[in-house]
Amino acid sequence: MKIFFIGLLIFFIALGIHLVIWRVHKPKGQIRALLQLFFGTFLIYLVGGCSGMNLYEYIQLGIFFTALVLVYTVTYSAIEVDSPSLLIVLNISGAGSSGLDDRRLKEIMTDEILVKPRMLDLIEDRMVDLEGGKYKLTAAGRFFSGIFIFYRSLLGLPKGG
Amino acid sequence: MLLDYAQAFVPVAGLLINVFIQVACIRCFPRLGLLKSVYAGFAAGLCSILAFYFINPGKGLVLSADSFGLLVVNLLAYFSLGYCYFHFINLGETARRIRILRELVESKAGLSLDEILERYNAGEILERRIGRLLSNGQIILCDGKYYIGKPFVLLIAKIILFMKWMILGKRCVS
Repeated sequence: MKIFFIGLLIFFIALGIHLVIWRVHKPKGQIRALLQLFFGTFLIYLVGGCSGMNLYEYIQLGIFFTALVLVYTVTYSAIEVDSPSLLIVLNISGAGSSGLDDRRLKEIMTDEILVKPRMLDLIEDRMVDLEGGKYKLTAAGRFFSGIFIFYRSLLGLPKGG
Repeated sequence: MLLDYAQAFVPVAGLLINVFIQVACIRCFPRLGLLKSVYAGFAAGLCSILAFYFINPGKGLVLSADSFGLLVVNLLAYFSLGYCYFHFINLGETARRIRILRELVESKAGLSLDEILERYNAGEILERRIGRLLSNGQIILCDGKYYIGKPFVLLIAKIILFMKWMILGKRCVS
């Protein structure tokens, strides 16, 4: 259980630092900053910590900690960017017993809300460049999209979205 | 000693089994649907981890005090990795940025914003999600209006809102 407690401790220390920093100044490239923060904290523990663990315990701690960080990062992405499905149910819930019709949903959920901010995110994440009014993939964008194209074809599924 | 090192990688091995079974399910039984294939893969990975700890050939069921601690850590790690794999699949299924990137992959000369919106826009995004929410019973359509059905997605939305407030200090969505 030592690995369990140490892993959780490092995770919650990094989480606390993250919450404080984000309230003062949210960095650009938030996911990248999150990963640097969490793994930086872990590295500081490895360098400065003296728990007297064996190599395989360090490996296990590394895998456990990485799994926790990935969970948080993935969940954070859902917090950072509003999911259309969640927006839909929140708006329908907000309408209460009156309900919400298609026309009103389309007025609320426009390209300005659903698509254009994602284009800006892609530029900020350097997945896409805007040149002469045209959006083009960068090498990073090509690589990243290639992973999903490959996996979707492996699953035998069409384009998502 | 070797077993100690092997135990460290048990969650990763569980994840690989999860992925293999999930892909096999969706390819061999497409009618099962993506979500059920994910459940099947997760269950297979979980069973393999439990089997590793509980089945000791020749000695029946064995679980020592040391193993219990490792089991807890490895199960948590596996659940975490399984959750991440689910989200990875979900990204391919629903993420807008991935879809936009795919549209750009198919257009070597690049696309203007209008051209992107011709291929993928709020109308399609809404249609897909409403279809999904209706088929899962999360919303219902009655007399041309939508109402909340099963409240699971609504509960998730409220949890996300709470976390958004806690972490980002934002009280509302866009």
